[in-house]
Amino acid sequence: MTAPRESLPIRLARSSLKLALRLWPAESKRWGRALAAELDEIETPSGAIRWALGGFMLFARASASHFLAWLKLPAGARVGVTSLAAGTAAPILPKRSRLFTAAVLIGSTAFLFLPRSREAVSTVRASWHDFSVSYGDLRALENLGSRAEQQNDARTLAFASLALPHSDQATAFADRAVALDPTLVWIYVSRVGRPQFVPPPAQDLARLIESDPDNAFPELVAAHVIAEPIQRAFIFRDAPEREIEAALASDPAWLADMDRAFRAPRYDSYFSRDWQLTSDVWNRERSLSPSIALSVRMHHSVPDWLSIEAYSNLLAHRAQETAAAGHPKDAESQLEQLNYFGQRMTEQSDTDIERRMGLGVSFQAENELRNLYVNTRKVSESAEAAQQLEQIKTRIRVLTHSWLSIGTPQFRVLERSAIFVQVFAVFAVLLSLAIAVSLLALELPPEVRAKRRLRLRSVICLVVDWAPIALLAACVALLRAFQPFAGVLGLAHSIGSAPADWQTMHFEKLFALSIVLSPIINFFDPYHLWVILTCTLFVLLLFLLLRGFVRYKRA
Amino acid sequence: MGIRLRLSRQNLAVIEVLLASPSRWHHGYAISRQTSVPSGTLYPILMRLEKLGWLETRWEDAAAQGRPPRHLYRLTGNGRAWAREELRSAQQRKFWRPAVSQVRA
Repeated sequence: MTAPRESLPIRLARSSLKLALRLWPAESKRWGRALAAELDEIETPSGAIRWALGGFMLFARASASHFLAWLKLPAGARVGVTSLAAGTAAPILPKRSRLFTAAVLIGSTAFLFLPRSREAVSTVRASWHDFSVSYGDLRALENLGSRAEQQNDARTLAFASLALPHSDQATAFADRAVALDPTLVWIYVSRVGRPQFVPPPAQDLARLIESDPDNAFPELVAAHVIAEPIQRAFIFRDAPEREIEAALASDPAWLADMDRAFRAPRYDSYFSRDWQLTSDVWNRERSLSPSIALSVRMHHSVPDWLSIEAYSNLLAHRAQETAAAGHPKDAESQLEQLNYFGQRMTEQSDTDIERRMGLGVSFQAENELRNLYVNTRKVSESAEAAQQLEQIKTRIRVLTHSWLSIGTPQFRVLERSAIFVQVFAVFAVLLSLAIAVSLLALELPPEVRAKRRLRLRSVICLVVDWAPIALLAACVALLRAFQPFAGVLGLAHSIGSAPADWQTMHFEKLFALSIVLSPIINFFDPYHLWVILTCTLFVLLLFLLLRGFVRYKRA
Repeated sequence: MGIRLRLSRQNLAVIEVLLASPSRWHHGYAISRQTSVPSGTLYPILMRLEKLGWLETRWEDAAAQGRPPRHLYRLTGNGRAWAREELRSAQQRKFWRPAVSQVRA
């Protein structure tokens, strides 16, 4: 005879109670077993289901009360363990409950999720990568680009293509942006130099030259495309600069591009348009890391100085030859052309580096003009050229001085703040790691009784008791120390079309965060290694002396 | 002890059943059937009674073949005295009307 087959609801009730029993907290498991044992007495399927549902309610209550009891105990303690085996010592446990530790950790995490804290954390993290675009930033930019693609948002697409490193996706974003808004064609040349020169597609460059015919910059980029492989080949051979210049001068396409660039009535390297675009998107997408916005400045394309210098030398040399051939007027006109290009670049540039290049060209032109006037005995013109040279020298000096001492007193104050920001940030990271390791050590491993381990366990308990509070304090201190940098970011957010210098000055202050890390980054630098070793040995010696003194006193 | 028993009608029904034949051991399902208290409510009551020291529990000695042993319950001496007092008090307050049997003095 076979046993009557149980109905599906009864089997379901039985198996679900069996499953609950497996997970039932130990201290009340016998009640679960008692409830499950009664199931055999129930004959109706609906009664069995109701009984099992009651069992689940009991299981939920037992689990909740187990969890609450577990929370009220310190980390490492187990619910329901009241007596110890004979000969075993009570385990060392932290003083504070899990509930307290969890509340402080949740408080710290919530604090770090405040908008201002998130800005601080992302800026500090970016400073640890020297403000280069991180993997997380790349993912954010790719998502932003994909979203903009769906919404046909040309400006955001253009921003994503500019902020991303050169890749097929960046090119696809750029193509889509220009297809949606042809006035954005300048994005193809705006950051060709990041981090090394990548020539823009020929047809895109041709489109840009066609759409912006008065601008010298696209012509200079076109010349750079020709010059770059020639320069690279000669630089590899360690050839003198004169040879490179001769090689470039023998290329008619390069000569034509440079000639058009030097005659163009306008100079615009698209920095302002680039910044305006970045500013628009950055203000809209507040979660974007500051490093993305900083990459505008870092990766802004400047013309190839070697090409400009080579062509300037060529024009100066031609002028000298023209003068020597007895045509000083023509020579003067050639040098004037060179000088006008330098002046345009100086006056119409948005960045100091381009301005410095323009001044360099003007200096060479004025110097050649002065020599020409001296040779042709034009005293007043020669004096005027000398005066112009002095003015250019002064401007170069001012420009260099402003680079070397960017906002000196304010910058130094920010450097000090940066030390505090970095110390608190590193402290917070170390505390988080210590808490995680200590909690794992208390909750996971079996009881350890060795004396040395007991000492270690005391330290672990101390960490679990105090580190969460220290972490919360470090987070608050980090945000407090970050206030000046939050101001810098606030100003940067509010800049719409201010000159590049001003943007640069403000962003330079953010770099103070990165500068203070250089001793840590350059840890293996011989000087820093020597300093660290000396300090470590000194601290060790001090410790040994103190220990010896204490032992002597005790004896 | 820190545990208090809220004397709801369901609590009173359970202790009334246990008090009806105080020396006899009761099964959980039987109590549930007599009182109509569902399992999810009955067992927390039994657990609290036990924690207060008013309920004795034990496992069945010989279980039927293929079946797990069942849990048995009955009131302790203190539990009986307390239960009688509480039922009487509830009756006086007209909060409770005996249903199973007359509570013995």
